[in-house]
Amino acid sequence: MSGAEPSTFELASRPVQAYRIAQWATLAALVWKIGAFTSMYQCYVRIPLDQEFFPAAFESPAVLLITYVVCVICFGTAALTANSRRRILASTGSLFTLSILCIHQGSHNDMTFATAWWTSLWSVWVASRIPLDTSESLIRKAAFVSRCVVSMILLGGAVGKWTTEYWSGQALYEIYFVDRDFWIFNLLRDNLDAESLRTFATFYSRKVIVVESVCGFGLWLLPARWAAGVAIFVLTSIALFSNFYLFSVLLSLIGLAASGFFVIRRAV
Amino acid sequence: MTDDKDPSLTHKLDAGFFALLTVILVVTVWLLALPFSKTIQHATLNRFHFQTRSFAVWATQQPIPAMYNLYNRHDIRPSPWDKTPNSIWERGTANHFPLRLFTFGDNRVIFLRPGQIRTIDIRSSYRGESLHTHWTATPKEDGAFDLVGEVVP
Repeated sequence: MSGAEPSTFELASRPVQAYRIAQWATLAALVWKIGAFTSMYQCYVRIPLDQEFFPAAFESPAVLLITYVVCVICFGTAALTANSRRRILASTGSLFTLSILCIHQGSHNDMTFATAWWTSLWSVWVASRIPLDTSESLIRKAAFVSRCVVSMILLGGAVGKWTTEYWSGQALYEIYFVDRDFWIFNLLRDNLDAESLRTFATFYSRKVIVVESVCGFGLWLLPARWAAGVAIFVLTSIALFSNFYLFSVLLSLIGLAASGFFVIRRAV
Repeated sequence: MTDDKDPSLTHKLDAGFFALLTVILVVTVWLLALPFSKTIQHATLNRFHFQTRSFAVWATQQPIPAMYNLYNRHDIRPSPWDKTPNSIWERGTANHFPLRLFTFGDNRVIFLRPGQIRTIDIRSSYRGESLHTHWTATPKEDGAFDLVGEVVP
Protein backbone atom coordinates (compact mmCIF):
# COMPACT_ATOMS: atom_id res chain seq x y z
CA MET A 1 0.00 0.00 0.00
CA SER A 2 2.78 2.47 0.85
CA GLY A 3 4.06 2.79 -2.70
CA ALA A 4 0.78 2.66 -4.62
CA GLU A 5 -1.40 5.73 -5.23
CA PRO A 6 -4.84 5.28 -3.67
CA SER A 7 -7.77 5.69 -6.04
CA THR A 8 -9.81 8.90 -6.06
CA PHE A 9 -12.81 6.96 -4.76
CA GLU A 10 -10.75 5.61 -1.88
CA LEU A 11 -9.55 9.08 -0.91
CA ALA A 12 -12.90 10.78 -1.33
CA SER A 13 -14.71 8.36 0.95
CA ARG A 14 -12.24 8.25 3.82
CA PRO A 15 -13.47 11.22 5.92
CA VAL A 16 -17.06 10.12 5.32
CA GLN A 17 -16.21 6.56 6.39
CA ALA A 18 -14.43 7.80 9.53
CA TYR A 19 -17.34 10.11 10.30
CA ARG A 20 -19.86 7.30 9.84
CA ILE A 21 -17.96 4.91 12.10
CA ALA A 22 -17.95 7.56 14.85
CA GLN A 23 -21.73 7.99 14.43
CA TRP A 24 -22.44 4.25 14.53
CA ALA A 25 -20.17 3.76 17.52
CA THR A 26 -21.82 6.61 19.44
CA LEU A 27 -25.25 5.31 18.50
CA ALA A 28 -24.21 1.91 19.89
CA ALA A 29 -22.96 3.66 23.05
CA LEU A 30 -26.30 5.40 23.52
CA VAL A 31 -28.38 2.24 23.08
CA TRP A 32 -25.93 0.02 25.03
CA LYS A 33 -27.80 0.86 28.23
CA ILE A 34 -31.27 1.16 26.73
CA GLY A 35 -32.67 -1.20 29.38
CA ALA A 36 -31.06 0.77 32.19
CA PHE A 37 -32.21 4.02 30.60
CA THR A 38 -35.82 2.80 30.41
CA SER A 39 -35.74 1.74 34.04
CA MET A 40 -34.10 5.05 34.95
CA TYR A 41 -36.88 7.00 33.25
CA GLN A 42 -39.55 5.02 35.13
CA CYS A 43 -37.79 5.79 38.44
CA TYR A 44 -37.72 9.51 37.63
CA VAL A 45 -41.45 9.54 36.82
CA ARG A 46 -42.20 7.64 40.04
CA ILE A 47 -39.93 9.69 42.32
CA PRO A 48 -39.37 13.25 41.08
CA LEU A 49 -36.67 15.21 42.95
CA ASP A 50 -36.94 18.96 43.48
CA GLN A 51 -33.42 20.34 43.79
CA GLU A 52 -33.12 24.10 43.81
CA PHE A 53 -29.84 24.04 41.89
CA PHE A 54 -31.46 22.74 38.67
CA PRO A 55 -33.94 24.73 36.56
CA ALA A 56 -37.25 22.82 36.38
CA ALA A 57 -36.74 21.75 32.75
CA PHE A 58 -33.48 20.03 33.70
CA GLU A 59 -35.27 17.95 36.35
CA SER A 60 -38.10 16.87 34.05
CA PRO A 61 -38.24 13.17 33.06
CA ALA A 62 -40.13 14.13 29.89
CA VAL A 63 -37.33 16.47 28.79
CA LEU A 64 -34.80 13.70 29.46
CA LEU A 65 -36.73 11.12 27.43
CA ILE A 66 -37.45 13.41 24.46
CA THR A 67 -33.86 14.65 24.37
CA TYR A 68 -32.49 11.11 24.46
CA VAL A 69 -34.79 9.93 21.66
CA VAL A 70 -33.97 12.96 19.47
CA CYS A 71 -30.28 12.41 20.14
CA VAL A 72 -30.50 8.77 18.99
CA ILE A 73 -32.42 9.85 15.86
CA CYS A 74 -29.76 12.47 15.10
CA PHE A 75 -26.92 9.95 15.34
CA GLY A 76 -28.89 7.46 13.22
CA THR A 77 -29.54 10.11 10.57
CA ALA A 78 -25.90 11.24 10.60
CA ALA A 79 -24.74 7.65 10.16
CA LEU A 80 -27.05 6.93 7.23
CA THR A 81 -27.39 10.11 5.22
CA ALA A 82 -25.32 10.88 2.13
CA ASN A 83 -26.54 14.47 2.04
CA SER A 84 -23.96 16.94 3.30
CA ARG A 85 -26.42 19.51 4.66
CA ARG A 86 -28.42 16.81 6.47
CA ARG A 87 -25.18 15.46 7.93
CA ILE A 88 -24.29 18.87 9.41
CA LEU A 89 -27.82 19.34 10.73
CA ALA A 90 -27.88 15.89 12.34
CA SER A 91 -24.51 16.39 14.04
CA THR A 92 -25.56 19.82 15.28
CA GLY A 93 -28.71 18.19 16.67
CA SER A 94 -26.58 15.53 18.40
CA LEU A 95 -24.36 18.19 19.96
CA PHE A 96 -27.36 20.21 21.16
CA THR A 97 -29.19 17.24 22.70
CA LEU A 98 -26.02 15.89 24.32
CA SER A 99 -25.41 19.33 25.84
CA ILE A 100 -28.79 18.99 27.55
CA LEU A 101 -28.10 15.41 28.68
CA CYS A 102 -24.76 16.52 30.20
CA ILE A 103 -26.51 19.01 32.48
CA HIS A 104 -29.81 17.26 33.28
CA GLN A 105 -30.31 16.17 36.89
CA GLY A 106 -31.01 12.59 35.80
CA SER A 107 -28.06 12.13 33.46
CA HIS A 108 -25.31 14.64 34.34
CA ASN A 109 -23.22 12.05 36.17
CA ASP A 110 -23.32 9.48 33.34
CA MET A 111 -20.06 9.92 31.44
CA THR A 112 -21.68 8.29 28.38
CA PHE A 113 -23.02 11.70 27.50
CA ALA A 114 -19.77 13.58 28.18
CA THR A 115 -17.69 11.38 25.88
CA ALA A 116 -20.45 11.40 23.24
CA TRP A 117 -20.51 15.22 23.53
CA TRP A 118 -16.85 15.42 22.49
CA THR A 119 -17.46 12.99 19.63
CA SER A 120 -20.39 15.07 18.43
CA LEU A 121 -18.32 18.27 18.62
CA TRP A 122 -15.72 16.59 16.38
CA SER A 123 -18.54 15.36 14.12
CA VAL A 124 -20.02 18.85 13.59
CA TRP A 125 -16.62 20.10 12.47
CA VAL A 126 -15.87 17.10 10.22
CA ALA A 127 -19.35 17.24 8.66
CA SER A 128 -18.90 20.94 7.92
CA ARG A 129 -15.51 20.33 6.23
CA ILE A 130 -16.41 17.29 4.11
CA PRO A 131 -17.77 19.48 1.26
CA LEU A 132 -14.78 21.84 1.48
CA ASP A 133 -11.53 19.98 2.18
CA THR A 134 -9.61 17.46 0.15
CA SER A 135 -10.11 14.01 1.64
CA GLU A 136 -6.45 13.48 2.42
CA SER A 137 -6.11 16.81 4.20
CA LEU A 138 -9.37 16.39 6.15
CA ILE A 139 -8.72 12.86 7.32
CA ARG A 140 -5.27 13.88 8.62
CA LYS A 141 -6.74 16.80 10.56
CA ALA A 142 -9.71 14.72 11.76
CA ALA A 143 -7.44 11.94 13.02
CA PHE A 144 -5.21 14.45 14.79
CA VAL A 145 -8.16 16.11 16.54
CA SER A 146 -9.58 12.70 17.46
CA ARG A 147 -6.38 11.60 19.20
CA CYS A 148 -6.15 14.97 20.98
CA VAL A 149 -9.69 14.42 22.30
CA VAL A 150 -8.97 10.85 23.44
CA SER A 151 -5.69 11.98 25.08
CA MET A 152 -7.48 14.80 26.90
CA ILE A 153 -10.25 12.52 28.18
CA LEU A 154 -7.75 9.92 29.46
CA LEU A 155 -5.74 12.72 31.05
CA GLY A 156 -8.94 13.87 32.77
CA GLY A 157 -9.30 10.42 34.26
CA ALA A 158 -5.65 10.40 35.34
CA VAL A 159 -5.32 13.80 37.05
CA GLY A 160 -8.38 13.19 39.20
CA LYS A 161 -6.63 10.07 40.51
CA TRP A 162 -3.28 11.68 41.28
CA THR A 163 -4.05 11.35 44.98
CA THR A 164 -2.81 9.18 47.83
CA GLU A 165 -6.19 7.43 48.03
CA TYR A 166 -5.98 6.20 44.44
CA TRP A 167 -2.19 5.56 44.45
CA SER A 168 -2.58 3.40 47.57
CA GLY A 169 -5.43 1.54 45.88
CA GLN A 170 -7.89 2.38 48.69
CA ALA A 171 -10.40 4.24 46.48
CA LEU A 172 -10.68 1.57 43.78
CA TYR A 173 -10.57 -1.16 46.46
CA GLU A 174 -13.74 0.33 47.99
CA ILE A 175 -15.40 0.95 44.61
CA TYR A 176 -14.61 -2.36 42.91
CA PHE A 177 -12.93 -4.98 45.06
CA VAL A 178 -15.17 -5.09 48.15
CA ASP A 179 -18.41 -6.21 46.55
CA ARG A 180 -18.66 -5.31 42.83
CA ASP A 181 -20.35 -8.19 40.97
CA PHE A 182 -18.10 -8.39 37.90
CA TRP A 183 -16.13 -11.34 36.56
CA ILE A 184 -12.61 -10.19 37.44
CA PHE A 185 -13.47 -8.98 40.95
CA ASN A 186 -15.51 -12.14 41.66
CA LEU A 187 -12.58 -14.24 40.43
CA LEU A 188 -10.10 -12.36 42.62
CA ARG A 189 -12.33 -12.56 45.71
CA ASP A 190 -12.76 -16.31 45.17
CA ASN A 191 -9.03 -16.94 44.87
CA LEU A 192 -7.26 -14.42 47.12
CA ASP A 193 -7.31 -13.87 50.87
CA ALA A 194 -8.21 -10.41 52.19
CA GLU A 195 -4.62 -9.18 52.41
CA SER A 196 -3.69 -10.34 48.90
CA LEU A 197 -6.89 -8.83 47.51
CA ARG A 198 -6.00 -5.46 49.04
CA THR A 199 -2.46 -5.72 47.63
CA PHE A 200 -3.84 -6.54 44.19
CA ALA A 201 -6.12 -3.49 44.43
CA THR A 202 -3.01 -1.32 44.84
CA PHE A 203 -1.41 -2.89 41.75
CA TYR A 204 -4.66 -2.50 39.77
CA SER A 205 -5.12 1.14 40.78
CA ARG A 206 -1.51 2.10 39.98
CA LYS A 207 -1.80 0.35 36.61
CA VAL A 208 -4.91 2.42 35.82
CA ILE A 209 -3.19 5.68 36.83
CA VAL A 210 -0.03 4.91 34.83
CA VAL A 211 -1.90 3.80 31.68
CA GLU A 212 -4.24 6.82 31.73
CA SER A 213 -1.35 9.22 32.41
CA VAL A 214 0.94 7.80 29.72
CA CYS A 215 -1.87 7.76 27.13
CA GLY A 216 -3.03 11.22 28.21
CA PHE A 217 0.41 12.69 27.67
CA GLY A 218 1.55 10.59 24.73
CA LEU A 219 -1.29 9.31 22.58
CA TRP A 220 -1.69 12.50 20.56
CA LEU A 221 2.01 12.40 19.64
CA LEU A 222 1.82 8.95 18.03
CA PRO A 223 1.40 8.39 14.27
CA ALA A 224 -2.29 8.22 13.34
CA ARG A 225 -2.62 4.46 12.90
CA TRP A 226 -0.55 3.63 15.97
CA ALA A 227 -2.60 6.09 18.03
CA ALA A 228 -5.83 4.52 16.77
CA GLY A 229 -4.66 1.00 17.60
CA VAL A 230 -3.33 1.88 21.06
CA ALA A 231 -6.42 3.95 21.95
CA ILE A 232 -8.86 1.23 20.91
CA PHE A 233 -6.84 -1.41 22.82
CA VAL A 234 -6.67 0.70 25.99
CA LEU A 235 -10.32 1.82 25.88
CA THR A 236 -11.55 -1.73 25.26
CA SER A 237 -9.40 -3.13 28.05
CA ILE A 238 -10.78 -0.53 30.50
CA ALA A 239 -14.30 -1.88 29.94
CA LEU A 240 -13.28 -5.56 29.85
CA PHE A 241 -11.46 -5.30 33.20
CA SER A 242 -13.72 -2.84 35.05
CA ASN A 243 -17.34 -2.94 33.98
CA PHE A 244 -19.08 -3.90 30.71
CA TYR A 245 -21.43 -0.93 31.18
CA LEU A 246 -18.38 1.27 30.56
CA PHE A 247 -18.70 0.36 26.88
CA SER A 248 -21.48 2.96 26.81
CA VAL A 249 -18.91 5.55 27.89
CA LEU A 250 -16.08 4.26 25.71
CA LEU A 251 -17.71 3.17 22.43
CA SER A 252 -18.00 6.73 21.15
CA LEU A 253 -14.30 7.27 21.86
CA ILE A 254 -13.44 3.97 20.18
CA GLY A 255 -15.35 5.14 17.08
CA LEU A 256 -13.59 8.50 17.26
CA ALA A 257 -10.16 6.90 17.61
CA ALA A 258 -10.83 4.64 14.60
CA SER A 259 -10.53 7.68 12.32
CA GLY A 260 -6.75 7.21 12.59
CA PHE A 261 -6.99 4.03 10.52
CA PHE A 262 -8.25 6.05 7.54
CA VAL A 263 -5.17 8.26 7.27
CA ILE A 264 -3.21 7.52 4.08
CA ARG A 265 0.27 6.19 4.74
CA ARG A 266 2.84 8.47 3.17
CA ALA A 267 4.96 6.82 0.48
CA VAL A 268 8.54 6.21 1.67
CA MET B 1 -4.73 17.91 -5.23
CA THR B 2 -5.84 14.35 -4.71
CA ASP B 3 -9.54 14.73 -5.44
CA ASP B 4 -11.89 17.11 -7.20
CA LYS B 5 -12.52 19.79 -4.51
CA ASP B 6 -12.34 23.46 -5.51
CA PRO B 7 -8.80 24.61 -4.57
CA SER B 8 -10.06 28.06 -3.63
CA LEU B 9 -12.18 26.45 -0.93
CA THR B 10 -9.71 23.84 0.31
CA HIS B 11 -7.04 26.43 0.95
CA LYS B 12 -9.36 28.62 3.00
CA LEU B 13 -8.43 28.78 6.67
CA ASP B 14 -10.14 26.01 8.60
CA ALA B 15 -11.26 28.09 11.60
CA GLY B 16 -13.17 25.16 13.07
CA PHE B 17 -9.99 23.08 13.27
CA PHE B 18 -8.17 25.77 15.24
CA ALA B 19 -11.23 26.50 17.41
CA LEU B 20 -11.51 22.81 18.30
CA LEU B 21 -7.81 22.56 19.16
CA THR B 22 -8.12 25.71 21.28
CA VAL B 23 -11.01 24.24 23.27
CA ILE B 24 -9.06 21.00 23.81
CA LEU B 25 -5.99 23.01 24.87
CA VAL B 26 -7.98 25.10 27.37
CA VAL B 27 -9.52 21.98 28.95
CA THR B 28 -6.10 20.28 29.04
CA VAL B 29 -4.52 23.28 30.80
CA TRP B 30 -7.41 23.25 33.31
CA LEU B 31 -6.85 19.53 33.94
CA LEU B 32 -3.08 19.87 34.31
CA ALA B 33 -3.56 22.75 36.77
CA LEU B 34 -5.86 20.65 38.99
CA PRO B 35 -3.08 19.14 41.14
CA PHE B 36 -1.46 22.54 41.73
CA SER B 37 -4.26 25.13 41.82
CA LYS B 38 -6.46 25.36 44.93
CA THR B 39 -8.93 27.42 42.85
CA ILE B 40 -9.42 24.62 40.34
CA GLN B 41 -9.51 22.00 43.09
CA HIS B 42 -12.32 23.90 44.83
CA ALA B 43 -14.13 24.46 41.51
CA THR B 44 -14.05 20.68 40.94
CA LEU B 45 -15.14 19.86 44.50
CA ASN B 46 -17.96 22.42 44.19
CA ARG B 47 -18.94 20.97 40.82
CA PHE B 48 -19.31 17.46 42.30
CA HIS B 49 -21.35 18.84 45.24
CA PHE B 50 -23.51 21.36 43.31
CA GLN B 51 -22.00 24.25 45.24
CA THR B 52 -20.89 26.15 42.11
CA ARG B 53 -22.15 29.73 42.29
CA SER B 54 -24.63 29.27 39.45
CA PHE B 55 -26.13 26.54 37.30
CA ALA B 56 -24.70 28.21 34.17
CA VAL B 57 -21.13 28.15 35.52
CA TRP B 58 -21.58 24.53 36.60
CA ALA B 59 -22.98 23.62 33.15
CA THR B 60 -19.94 25.03 31.32
CA GLN B 61 -17.70 22.70 33.35
CA GLN B 62 -19.66 19.57 32.46
CA PRO B 63 -17.71 18.66 29.28
CA ILE B 64 -14.49 18.58 31.35
CA PRO B 65 -13.73 14.86 31.75
CA ALA B 66 -14.01 13.74 35.38
CA MET B 67 -14.22 9.95 35.30
CA TYR B 68 -13.33 8.38 38.63
CA ASN B 69 -12.06 11.70 39.98
CA LEU B 70 -11.57 12.68 43.65
CA TYR B 71 -12.08 10.39 46.65
CA ASN B 72 -15.83 10.51 47.32
CA ARG B 73 -17.22 8.92 50.50
CA HIS B 74 -20.87 8.84 51.50
CA ASP B 75 -23.02 7.90 54.49
CA ILE B 76 -26.76 7.47 54.01
CA ARG B 77 -28.97 7.67 57.10
CA PRO B 78 -32.70 7.06 57.50
CA SER B 79 -33.40 10.25 59.43
CA PRO B 80 -31.79 13.67 59.74
CA TRP B 81 -31.71 13.83 63.52
CA ASP B 82 -29.99 10.53 64.25
CA LYS B 83 -26.25 10.93 63.62
CA THR B 84 -24.89 8.07 65.69
CA PRO B 85 -22.57 5.66 63.84
CA ASN B 86 -25.07 2.79 64.23
CA SER B 87 -27.71 4.71 62.31
CA ILE B 88 -25.72 4.58 59.05
CA TRP B 89 -27.75 2.64 56.52
CA GLU B 90 -25.31 2.64 53.65
CA ARG B 91 -21.66 3.67 53.60
CA GLY B 92 -19.49 3.60 50.53
CA THR B 93 -17.29 5.22 47.93
CA ALA B 94 -18.54 6.71 44.67
CA ASN B 95 -16.52 7.09 41.49
CA HIS B 96 -17.71 10.63 40.71
CA PHE B 97 -20.68 12.96 41.38
CA PRO B 98 -21.49 11.24 44.70
CA LEU B 99 -24.97 12.76 45.05
CA ARG B 100 -25.97 10.36 42.28
CA LEU B 101 -26.71 7.96 45.16
CA PHE B 102 -29.95 9.94 45.50
CA THR B 103 -30.44 11.37 42.02
CA PHE B 104 -29.46 8.70 39.50
CA GLY B 105 -31.60 5.88 38.11
CA ASP B 106 -32.59 2.96 40.33
CA ASN B 107 -30.88 4.56 43.34
CA ARG B 108 -33.96 6.71 43.85
CA VAL B 109 -36.08 3.61 44.38
CA ILE B 110 -33.43 1.93 46.54
CA PHE B 111 -32.72 4.83 48.87
CA LEU B 112 -35.78 7.08 48.76
CA ARG B 113 -38.87 5.49 50.29
CA PRO B 114 -42.34 7.08 50.22
CA GLY B 115 -43.05 9.13 53.34
CA GLN B 116 -39.57 8.68 54.83
CA ILE B 117 -36.84 11.27 55.27
CA ARG B 118 -33.38 10.30 54.09
CA THR B 119 -30.06 12.07 54.52
CA ILE B 120 -26.72 11.65 52.83
CA ASP B 121 -23.37 13.01 53.98
CA ILE B 122 -20.82 13.37 51.20
CA ARG B 123 -17.12 14.00 51.70
CA SER B 124 -14.88 14.53 48.67
CA SER B 125 -11.16 15.13 48.90
CA TYR B 126 -8.28 15.84 46.55
CA ARG B 127 -4.67 16.37 47.60
CA GLY B 128 -5.45 17.90 50.99
CA GLU B 129 -8.51 19.90 49.92
CA SER B 130 -11.94 18.60 50.85
CA LEU B 131 -15.63 19.41 50.84
CA HIS B 132 -18.32 17.95 53.11
CA THR B 133 -21.99 18.47 52.29
CA HIS B 134 -25.09 17.20 54.05
CA TRP B 135 -28.25 16.55 52.01
CA THR B 136 -31.79 15.88 53.18
CA ALA B 137 -34.47 14.33 50.98
CA THR B 138 -37.87 15.20 52.40
CA PRO B 139 -40.99 13.51 50.98
CA LYS B 140 -43.84 15.63 49.67
CA GLU B 141 -47.49 14.69 49.32
CA ASP B 142 -47.32 14.03 45.57
CA GLY B 143 -44.62 11.34 45.89
CA ALA B 144 -41.82 13.73 45.02
CA PHE B 145 -38.93 14.66 47.31
CA ASP B 146 -37.34 17.99 48.16
CA LEU B 147 -33.57 17.61 48.04
CA VAL B 148 -31.76 20.29 50.03
CA GLY B 149 -28.05 20.44 50.69
CA GLU B 150 -25.74 22.46 52.94
CA VAL B 151 -22.02 22.71 53.34
CA VAL B 152 -20.77 21.26 56.61
CA PRO B 153 -17.92 23.44 57.95
